[in-house]
Amino acid sequence: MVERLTTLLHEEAAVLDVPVAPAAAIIRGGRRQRRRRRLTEAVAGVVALGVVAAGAGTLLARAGDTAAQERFASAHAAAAYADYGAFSTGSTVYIGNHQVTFPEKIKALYYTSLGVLVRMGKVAYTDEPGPSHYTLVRPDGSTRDVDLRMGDRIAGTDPDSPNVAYAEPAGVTGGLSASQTRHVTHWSLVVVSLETGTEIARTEVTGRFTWGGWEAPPVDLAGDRMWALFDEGWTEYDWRTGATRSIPGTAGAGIIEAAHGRYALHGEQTDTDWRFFDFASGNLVATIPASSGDTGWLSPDGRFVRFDKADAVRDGKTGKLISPPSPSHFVSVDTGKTVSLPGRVFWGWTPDGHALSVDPAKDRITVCDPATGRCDRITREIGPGSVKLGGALYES
Amino acid sequence: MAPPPSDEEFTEFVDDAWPTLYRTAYLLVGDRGLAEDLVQTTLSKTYVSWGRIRDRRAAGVYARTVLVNTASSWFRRRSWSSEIATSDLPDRPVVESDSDRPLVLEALRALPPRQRAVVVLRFYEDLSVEQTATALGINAGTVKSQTSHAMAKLRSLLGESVIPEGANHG
Repeated sequence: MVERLTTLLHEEAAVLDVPVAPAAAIIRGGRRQRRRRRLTEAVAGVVALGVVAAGAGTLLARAGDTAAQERFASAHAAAAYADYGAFSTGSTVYIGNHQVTFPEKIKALYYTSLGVLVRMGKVAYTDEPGPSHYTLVRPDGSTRDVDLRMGDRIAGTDPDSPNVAYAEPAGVTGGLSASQTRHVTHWSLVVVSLETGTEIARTEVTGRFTWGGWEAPPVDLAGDRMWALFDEGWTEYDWRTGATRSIPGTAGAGIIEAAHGRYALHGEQTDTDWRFFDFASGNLVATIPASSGDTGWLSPDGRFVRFDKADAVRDGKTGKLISPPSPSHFVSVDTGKTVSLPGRVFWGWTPDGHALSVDPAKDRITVCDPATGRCDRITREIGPGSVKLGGALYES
Repeated sequence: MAPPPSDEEFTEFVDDAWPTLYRTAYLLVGDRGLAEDLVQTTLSKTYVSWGRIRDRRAAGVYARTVLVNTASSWFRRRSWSSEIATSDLPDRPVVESDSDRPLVLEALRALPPRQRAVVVLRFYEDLSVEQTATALGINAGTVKSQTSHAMAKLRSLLGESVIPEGANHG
C-alpha cells in the first residue's frame, strides 16, 4: 500500500544532482582517524589495567579450560544456572548444564530466581504477529507453563525474584495496538508469581505512553517493587504496601535500561555520559563516560554495564555478518573499573552478572567475569537456529 | 590494526559508492551540505575499518550501515531537531497538482529526524522492521510506532493517493 511512496522516493533520489566524490579528502580524513586511533590504543594499553587483566585472564582460562569443562559438567543444576545462565538456538533452551526442546521458536529469555522464563511462538522474532507462550524452565530442565497474555511489551523479571511484572491498559481486555495505547491514561501494574502462576498484586496508576511502540510501558522488577516507564518518567509500585510514587528527575527519560533496582539516564546533557541511579534512594550511583554512540546494557544484577558500539554489520538481505562487533567494554557500576573482553562477539549475561557468549559453529559457550576479565570456555553440543542470549533484550 | 587500503583501491570504491550513499544521505538529512558531510564522514570511517570488512564485495553494505549509524548519532543530538526538523509545517495536503514528485522531499523534511530515517530505510532502502531497528540502534517497537506516526503525517501532507488510509505498516 505504500508502493507509490516508494516509487516517488526513488524517482526523487534518481534526479538529485550528485556532487563529485572528494576521494582525496576522504582518504586524508581516514588517515587522520587511523593515526588518532593508533595513539588512543597505545595509551589505553598503558593505563587501562582492566584491559591488561582481561588479557591475562584469557590466557589463564585457556590453560584451565579442562578444569572449567569439568566444573561445568559436575555443577549442581542450580549452581550451573547461576554460573552459566541460559541461551537458546531455534527451539532449544540451554539452561546451566541442562537443555529442553520446545515445539515453538524461542523469542526471548528472562532470568528469575526459579529459572528462566521463556517466551516462544511460531517465529523467533518478537515483532511478528501471533500469540506468545510462556514457560518457566527450571535449572534441572523441568518446565511449567505460565498463563501470561502480555502481547507486545517488555515485562520485568529479576534473577533474585520468583515473580514477573508487567503493565497493561486498565480495564481493557484483549490488548490494544501501539497506536491505541497513545490515548490510554490509566494503567494497571501487575505482579504474577511464577511459583503458583497466579496474580499476586495489581494496582492502577495514571500515565501516558506515547514513545515506545509497545502495547504498554516497559517494566522492571526487584524485590517488592516494580517500575514502569511512562512519558512522565518511572512510576514505582511497592506491591507489598500498595504505595505508588513517581521517581523524580525521570520525566521524558527515553532509556529503558534498568535492572535490579537501578536505572540509567543518558543523553540529557551530553551524548557520552551515562548516569546510574538507585530507584529506592534516588542516589546517583555512578556517572560513566562512554564513547559517542555507544549503547549501555546493565547486567541482570545491576553490577555491571556493557557498552557496545553499533558497528556490527550484517547484510540486510542475507543476514550474513559483514563486519563483526567491536570488543565490548564492561564497567563496574560500583567501582568504575573497566574491562575489555577479547573477541568480537555478541554478549548476553548470566543471572549473576557474568558475560555470556555462544558460538554454535564451534559448539562453545564463553562465560567471563567482567570484574577480572577471566573467562571459562565450555564445549557443549549446540543445535542450529537463531541464537537468543539470556539477559539480552529482544523485545519489540 | 589491519593495513589501510591503497589509495587507488579506496578511490575506486569511493567513486563507486558515493552516488548511492549521497542519495540515501540526502533523503535522511534533507540538506545537500549535510548529506555531503555525512557521506564524507561515513567513507572516512570505512577507510579506517577497511581491514575488518571480511568480504570486500560487501563494503558498500558496510558503508551504508555506517552512514545510517552516523546519521542516527547526529539525530540523538538535542540540537538536531531544532536545527533541521520542520515539523511545524501545516497538517494539510500540500499536493495540489498532478505531479507530486517534487513535493515528496518537502513532506519528508517535515518529519522529525528519526521518523524520516525510518521512512527512508523502510521504503527507500527496503529494510524490514528488524533490519531498520538494527540499523538505527533502536527497538523494533519504536520503528513500528515511528512508522505509524510518519505515515499519518505524510498522509496529511501528500494525501491518500500516495499514502492510503491503513497503510501504516507499523
